[in-house]
Amino acid sequence: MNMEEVFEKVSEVIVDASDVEADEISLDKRLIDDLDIDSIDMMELIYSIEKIYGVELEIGDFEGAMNREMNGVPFAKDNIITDEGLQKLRELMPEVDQTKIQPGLAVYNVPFLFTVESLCKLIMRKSAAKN
Amino acid sequence: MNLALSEKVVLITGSNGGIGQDICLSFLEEKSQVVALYRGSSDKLKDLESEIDQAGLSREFYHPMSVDLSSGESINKCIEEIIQKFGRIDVLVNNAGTTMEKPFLSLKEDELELVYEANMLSLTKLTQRVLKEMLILKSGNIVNVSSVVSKRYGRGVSYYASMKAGVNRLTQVLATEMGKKNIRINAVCPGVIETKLSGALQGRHHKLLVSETPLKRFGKPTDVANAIKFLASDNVSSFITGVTLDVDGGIGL
Repeated sequence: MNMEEVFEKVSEVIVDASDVEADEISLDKRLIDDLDIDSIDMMELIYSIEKIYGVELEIGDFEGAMNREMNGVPFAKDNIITDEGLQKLRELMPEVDQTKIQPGLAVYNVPFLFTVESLCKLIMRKSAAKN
Repeated sequence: MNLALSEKVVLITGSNGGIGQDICLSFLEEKSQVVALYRGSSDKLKDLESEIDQAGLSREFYHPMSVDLSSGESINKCIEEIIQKFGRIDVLVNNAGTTMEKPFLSLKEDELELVYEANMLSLTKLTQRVLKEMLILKSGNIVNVSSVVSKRYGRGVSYYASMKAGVNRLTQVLATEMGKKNIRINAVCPGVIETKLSGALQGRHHKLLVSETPLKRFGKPTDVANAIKFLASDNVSSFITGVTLDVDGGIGL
């Protein structure tokens, strides 16, 4: 499984789940702000991907997933991402606009950072962990 | 009228209940694949099964399945099995529920939890899980069984009435969210129906209730089942979503 294959599949699913045209999609596009994918389309997108790859993306429980990944170091406190959480985000998502990963970032704002590449990488990471 | 429900995969909760049995029979008559959900012992289905046989309906399309609707894990396992077997879910009928007739101030904490769990929380959990499958298919129909007390009356069943009002609102809001995915969500609001659940009520207030009902009779479970089939059929109600259809002989007017 490489980035090109995953991108191709993710693009197909985005086109199927939303009003986005294939030629609008590129790795650097943000799912919400650039492609304008709304919450219902996002749900379809996530469930379709989970079905195709047999993985749970855990985007609905991002904080819980990150807490597990950080082995007990809290990812967020009172919905605001901790310094350690921000550091983890920078490591996991170097492709996103780093100026947005700043102190005060709320957990519910993380989905706004997600680019197509972030999604592809998440799929690859979850698939690798499963295997 | 051709409902075109043949081969549709229909999940029905509370399939052993008074109305639930007739909902199952009604979809079996259409040759739908009926997944009859129940909790606990399969003995509860004996009445339904003998009615299926008496009606001369084939059990080929009847698929009883045990599930604990209070448990997300049990729901997930059940839906996985259904998807494994049929590959899709076309219709969900959220029929399971329980009433509690008691003055509001006498309701104990565990009774409040029971009414909430049985009428609202379980329905919500199952709907969430089924909608995941329907979203991927961009197709599906959900029919919630609410009650006339969600809109009128309800004295003595305050908390039950509140939960059913919640079901109505959930129906309407979900309809607005899921419409673009070709998923319709509707509800029926039965009035006084001749079932075990309403038996006590009928006994005590029979004359009053009949006189209050413009059609001058109680409803039958088949009245409710037919309304549900209508709402579940894309052939006859494809432009209807978010309605809370009264099936009450006019008592709620």
